[in-house]
Amino acid sequence: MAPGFSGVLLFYLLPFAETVRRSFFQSGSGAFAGTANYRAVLHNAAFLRAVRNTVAYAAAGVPLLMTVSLFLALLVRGLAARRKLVSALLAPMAVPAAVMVLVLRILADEHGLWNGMFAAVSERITGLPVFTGADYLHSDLALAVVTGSFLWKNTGYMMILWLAGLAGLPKEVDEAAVVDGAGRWQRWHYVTRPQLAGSFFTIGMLSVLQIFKSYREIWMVAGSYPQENIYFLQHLLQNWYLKLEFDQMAALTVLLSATLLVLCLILQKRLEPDL
Amino acid sequence: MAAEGCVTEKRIKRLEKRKTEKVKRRVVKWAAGGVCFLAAALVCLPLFLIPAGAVMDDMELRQMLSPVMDGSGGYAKWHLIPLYPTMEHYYRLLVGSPEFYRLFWNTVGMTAAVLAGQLLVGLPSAWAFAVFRFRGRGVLFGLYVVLMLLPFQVMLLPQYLVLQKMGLYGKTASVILPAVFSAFPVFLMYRGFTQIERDVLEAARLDGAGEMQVFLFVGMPLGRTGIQAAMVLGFLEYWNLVEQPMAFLEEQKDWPLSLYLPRLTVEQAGFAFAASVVVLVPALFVFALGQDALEKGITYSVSMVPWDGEKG
Repeated sequence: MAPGFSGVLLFYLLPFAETVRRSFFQSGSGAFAGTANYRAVLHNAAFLRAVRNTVAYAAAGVPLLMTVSLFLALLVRGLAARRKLVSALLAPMAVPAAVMVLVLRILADEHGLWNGMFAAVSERITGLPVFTGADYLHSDLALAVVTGSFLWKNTGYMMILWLAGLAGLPKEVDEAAVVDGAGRWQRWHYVTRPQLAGSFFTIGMLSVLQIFKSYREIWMVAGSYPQENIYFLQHLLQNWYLKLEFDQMAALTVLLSATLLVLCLILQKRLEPDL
Repeated sequence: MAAEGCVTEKRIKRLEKRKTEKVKRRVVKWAAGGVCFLAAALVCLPLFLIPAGAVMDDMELRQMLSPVMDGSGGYAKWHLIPLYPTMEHYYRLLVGSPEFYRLFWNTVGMTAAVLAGQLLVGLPSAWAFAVFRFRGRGVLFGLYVVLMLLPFQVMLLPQYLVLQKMGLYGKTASVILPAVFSAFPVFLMYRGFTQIERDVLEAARLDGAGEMQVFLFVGMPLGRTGIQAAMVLGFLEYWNLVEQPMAFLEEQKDWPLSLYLPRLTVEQAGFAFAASVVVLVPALFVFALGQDALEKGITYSVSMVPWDGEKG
């Protein structure tokens, strides 16, 4: 125990405390800066942009991820090929982000495979290749691509969580509903869904936290200065780091971790009564 | 007579209803299977580009991808099956590019060092959380959980400060050491240990086993799912490391492959695909072998509260 905790102390807790301290000082002169660093962050245009983008990303990604993964979990539950399907949907977890960069470039380019497919389909239907095509990663569609890649990577993971939640429900209640003549939809709406309330909460929270952890793929595909809709808080931290702007970075680190800490604590609080 | 007819009619109706119900259920099942299969195909399809591209010759790749390479008219195409399969890219990769080896072994070394370190450091911590009731256990555990959920960027500046101070910045250790002490494997292994009945440990102690023996001969074998889960998830994470080496390693010769691959352009597609296959294969291998542990590990992450034998 002791060596493990001293490492956590050394590499996580103490440096974090130092960062909190620094966020109130000027690194050049060492003078006490009060809340100046924080005010600088809060008035920074890039920060505001990044916050807006991160909120938009979470607002699109979290409900979509939850719906898609729950839907697939419900469908896959009674199937014989369940294990194979789960493996297939989990496979993206094993795919290194670096490997997908080139693939995505070929797919999402203005002259890439996606646009080629759309053009071919529209030609088949209307006789004209009307779809002129967009450069997905460098247009307003960038957020959609990023959200899609978030779904691609995380659906399997969340599906496992839903399946675990579903497996924990008592069978008797559902069987009683069947006997009482409840239809599929009624059983879902009145029996399964209310019982899954706990899972909804947990999986929702984990999805939100996953949004913040999904920076790697985005950075690899789009670089440090991506299309403006997919410039997130992580880009900002990363870029300030490279520019050695440690004062603002310390303040932003504290702000972001305080926000996430609140999320984590709510999550923990919610889970406590269950055990 | 009339009444009897009515009864059989009713029965027939009921049977018919049951039949349609059965057909309906089968249709729903087929539809569900279809949707799931489609989703799985959609998810896995992009992966098939990689091994196919790796064995296509440059001519073929150029012919298919020139719209992406130079923005010329039309759209890129893709052949699902290579026209003229060739091993030239693998040959060039495995025989003709020593820098690839260097980076490959960097990746292997980092992953192995981190996982070994996590076992060494994390196992005792996890065991202590699971078995002993000490003061501050709840708070400490909460701390580990929070650390595990935070994204790396939050720790970027703090870790830079400490690594700089320790003189580790720019060295491979700057990537390995913080990872060794990360909270996630401790958490997973802890969850594995809590699956063991406390009575079993008690019985071992009564039989005269020391605490060390209980840990080695009872805890480790019975709690192995958690350990496996930590290793599998850890492997996938560190095989794919990007942010940490990017932030803390300056020289390209120290990089892992995951930083080098994205630098390859579409013009070098064949070579990049071959390199991708070499990176992908170990990850998929571990994934296939450890899928059960992986799934267990994922479900473990839902319950993040210290578990008490009495309450649970």
